[in-house]
Amino acid sequence: MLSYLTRRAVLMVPTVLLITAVVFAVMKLAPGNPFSAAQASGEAAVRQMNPQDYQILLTRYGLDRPWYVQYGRWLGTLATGSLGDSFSERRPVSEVFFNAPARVLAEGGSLRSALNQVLSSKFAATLFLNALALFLMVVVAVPAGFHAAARQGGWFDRASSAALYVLYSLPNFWVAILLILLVGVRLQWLPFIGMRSDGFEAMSAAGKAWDLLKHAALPALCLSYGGLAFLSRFARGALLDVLSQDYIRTARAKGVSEAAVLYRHGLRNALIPLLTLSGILLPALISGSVIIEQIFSWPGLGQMYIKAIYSRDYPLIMAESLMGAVAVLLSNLATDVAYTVADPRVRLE
Amino acid sequence: METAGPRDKDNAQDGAPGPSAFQTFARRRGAARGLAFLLLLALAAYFAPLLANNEPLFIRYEGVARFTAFRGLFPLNRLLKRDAVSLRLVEDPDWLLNQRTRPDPKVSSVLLPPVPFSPLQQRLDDVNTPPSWRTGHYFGCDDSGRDVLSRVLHGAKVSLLVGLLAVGLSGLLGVAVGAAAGYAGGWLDLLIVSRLIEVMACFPTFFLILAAVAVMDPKYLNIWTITVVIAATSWTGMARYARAEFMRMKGADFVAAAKALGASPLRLALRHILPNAMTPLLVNATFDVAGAVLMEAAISFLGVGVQPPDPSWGNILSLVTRYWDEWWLGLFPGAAIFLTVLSYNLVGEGVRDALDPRAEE
Repeated sequence: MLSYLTRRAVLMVPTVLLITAVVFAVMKLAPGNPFSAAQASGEAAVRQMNPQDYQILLTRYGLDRPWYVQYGRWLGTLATGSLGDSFSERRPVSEVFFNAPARVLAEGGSLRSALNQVLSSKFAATLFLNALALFLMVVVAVPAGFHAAARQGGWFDRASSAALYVLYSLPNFWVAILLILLVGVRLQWLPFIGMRSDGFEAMSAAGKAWDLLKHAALPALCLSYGGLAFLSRFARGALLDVLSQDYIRTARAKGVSEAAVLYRHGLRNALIPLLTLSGILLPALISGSVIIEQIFSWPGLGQMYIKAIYSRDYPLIMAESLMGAVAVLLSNLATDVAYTVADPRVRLE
Repeated sequence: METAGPRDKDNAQDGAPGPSAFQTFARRRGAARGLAFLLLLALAAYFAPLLANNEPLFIRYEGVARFTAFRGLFPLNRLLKRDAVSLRLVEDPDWLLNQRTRPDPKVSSVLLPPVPFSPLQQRLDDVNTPPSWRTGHYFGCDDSGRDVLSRVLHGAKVSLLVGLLAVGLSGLLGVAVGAAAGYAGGWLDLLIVSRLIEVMACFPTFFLILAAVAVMDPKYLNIWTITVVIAATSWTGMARYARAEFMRMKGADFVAAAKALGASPLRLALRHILPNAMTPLLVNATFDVAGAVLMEAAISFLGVGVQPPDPSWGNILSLVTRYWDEWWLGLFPGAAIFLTVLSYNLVGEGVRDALDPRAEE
């Protein structure tokens, strides 16, 4: 097992290198740089920058070198365990993502305050939102898909497959807008801006949790329904596939009740192929979270990515792309490992 | 009262040939409706200059007949005589509208387009007006007093063009690379193509597209560059299918037979393998168009796609996030995106059913 994990981890390295190189090249080959962007739209002081100063800035940040040299430098920084410094935030990228728990500890802060730093970070905000969306997705989609398969061709099966088809084509940014217009603006049932209400710090623990959930409800819904449609179709297919197996016929032939066939023999086996889906769902979740966080002003990595892109903050863009790629690759690995646990017939080679 | 008539069911005879691919396609109501919607949309996009314009379809001014709205219609604006389509009467863009209330005595007859507003025309009096029959702004107006229906009609061109061109481009590239990798195999496949396909499959493409368009100077952002960027980041999906099909078929008997007859590798690939690999590629391409339409809308929505004042469904929609009370800015362009994506997906299902009898259901 350990040697398998090591081998997989080593194989990840070229993939990650290729991804980051592609992102880097794409960014650098496009015309423009942070200073020209600032000059086009920025403050008067930046606009009136004279050509020598402009050149000095380019040299200072190494932006006058060819892209592969810059990429090499970025890799060099990465090798030292640092993600570099953000141009626009003027602090280390890791602090932009996680705040500064290490510094708080070093300056004599309590473990609790260091933990609070992490919990209030952009990374935690995005993780919370995506985990909630994933939870919603699984809790609704898997039972719905199984129910449709158990009564194949029934009214629920037909209605849900039609509804899911429509859901699958609905752009999530439009759904977000419609939900905000209806639930947020017209009915005023739920907040739709940001993650916390004013006076959040003064709330009780339960009050805080409730406040967070209320803010997360709409964005999590928007993030989850696309994958929900996909997952439930897949769950339906998986159960139908299992129900056509010989051992199900055997179970029925020996007089096992229909309920036991379905729940004991069918469902358990149908859950296994669902594990493979995380590799497909995660990139979609990450992509979706960029646009949804932007609409709901959710203070997470997705919104940060848009900001980084508007200000051409290369270190930040690179770090986010790296995190996205690593998250997907790790989840693929976790899937493969989970598969062997769930299905002993599968061996890790 | 019922009249007895021939019933289709009775006419079907055993042993008769099955329905053709086209019949299978047309029999799926969803697919047929999707296609009908897309055709309507294409017509609307093409004739948008006649449907929504602040210039008359026909006007008799000082006794001379002119068809000024046709100036925006592609082949006609080249064919018609210049003075038949050009009319710079007054600089006032609202001149035409005012003909209803204060007609110009030199105008003897005039025919307005159904939506008498151009997509770029800003009317200060109409800023943020809600949809209404009375004002003639059926979809309302945006924050600059531009008619939303006019902008949605003219924006259809962007969605349709980007969707089809991006998939055409990525299809050509993907099939070429995938075919070469699948047919030739070897280091090219193992070291480059397969790795690239694998990498792109596990990386959120949206990140890459955003990175590419956002660092571009806004003056380079138009439907052509967006098309190229979407194609450049989505061809690996097509390459994966092409590679698999070419790999599967290069050992087939009919390929061996053609090879024995002395066919060149290029001829083998283009004339013998590709036609047999068309089905999965075509099905995949149809779904890809839906994806490309969605992608263009998303990046324009984020402000890094088609730049205002040029209309695109995404950039009309983005205005609602600044003015949450103006629901019409959110409803109509979003519905257009949804219906287009849904239609392409339905057509994709239909194509799959029609061409691939092994497909489920």
